[in-house]
Amino acid sequence: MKIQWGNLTRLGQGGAEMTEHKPVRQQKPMEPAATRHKKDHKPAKLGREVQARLGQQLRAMYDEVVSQGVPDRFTELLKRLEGNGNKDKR
Amino acid sequence: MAMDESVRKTVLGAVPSLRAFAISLCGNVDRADDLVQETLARALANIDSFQPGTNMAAWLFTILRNHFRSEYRKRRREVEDSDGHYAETLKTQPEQHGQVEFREFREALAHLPSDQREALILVGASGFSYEETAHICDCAVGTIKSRVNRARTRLAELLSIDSADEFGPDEQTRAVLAGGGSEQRQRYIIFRPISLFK
Repeated sequence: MKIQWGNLTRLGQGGAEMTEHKPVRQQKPMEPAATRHKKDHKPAKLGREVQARLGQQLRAMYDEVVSQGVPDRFTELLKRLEGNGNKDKR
Repeated sequence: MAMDESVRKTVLGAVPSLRAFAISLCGNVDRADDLVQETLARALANIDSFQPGTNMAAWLFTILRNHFRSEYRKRRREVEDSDGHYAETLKTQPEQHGQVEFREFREALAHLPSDQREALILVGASGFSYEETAHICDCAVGTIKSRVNRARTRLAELLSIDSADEFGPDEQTRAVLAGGGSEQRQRYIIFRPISLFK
């Protein structure tokens, strides 16, 4: 499926308000020249800041699950599987 | 099967990360936990084929990934629009495992092709090397590198970040920052909680 902005924005909570605007990507923000820092990035290569940002988000999302530890069902499963293996080896 | 205590510990120790990987693959906590459960069952049934001294976590991830792939292919026949299906799965259970702040990121992640998504997760979050990831995904190291690069680029596109500039503050924070120097602004951009769709 080709991803379109419509699809993506509809998933978010901000969907309703988003539909009235063009996707942010197409809206070049009007920044005062003073706060704008150099854009020396090549089109195909992501800047280090962007990569760091993405990496940070990715790990945060992942670690949120990791920090939940081992749910009981898996400790019990392992015990059960061991027990099964010893008793009735198929 | 007689399982060494250290093997048992290693297997259990890999569970949290296996779950995180499984959730990122299928976008559904319940299904992910089933996937992990099936992975453990398979792993223990085939524990003899594990080569001691090699990376147990990578071995478990390989089993999980292969199992998911074969299941996924089965489902794919039932559901033609597979990417759309994944996104749909996410949509129906928005806050089940994620905080609000990750929602947009998860959604963008859900729109990546699955081979790019898994490569990015394994390298960027699970902490596997490119070589280990290539082994898990049964492909060349160069392929993994290219998938990870494409995944990052696509994510940045989906999240509208062509450069750090475009993490730009929203109206409120823009006002707060108006007095700040460029150094301050830059730090802010990097560490600010993400809210990219504003």
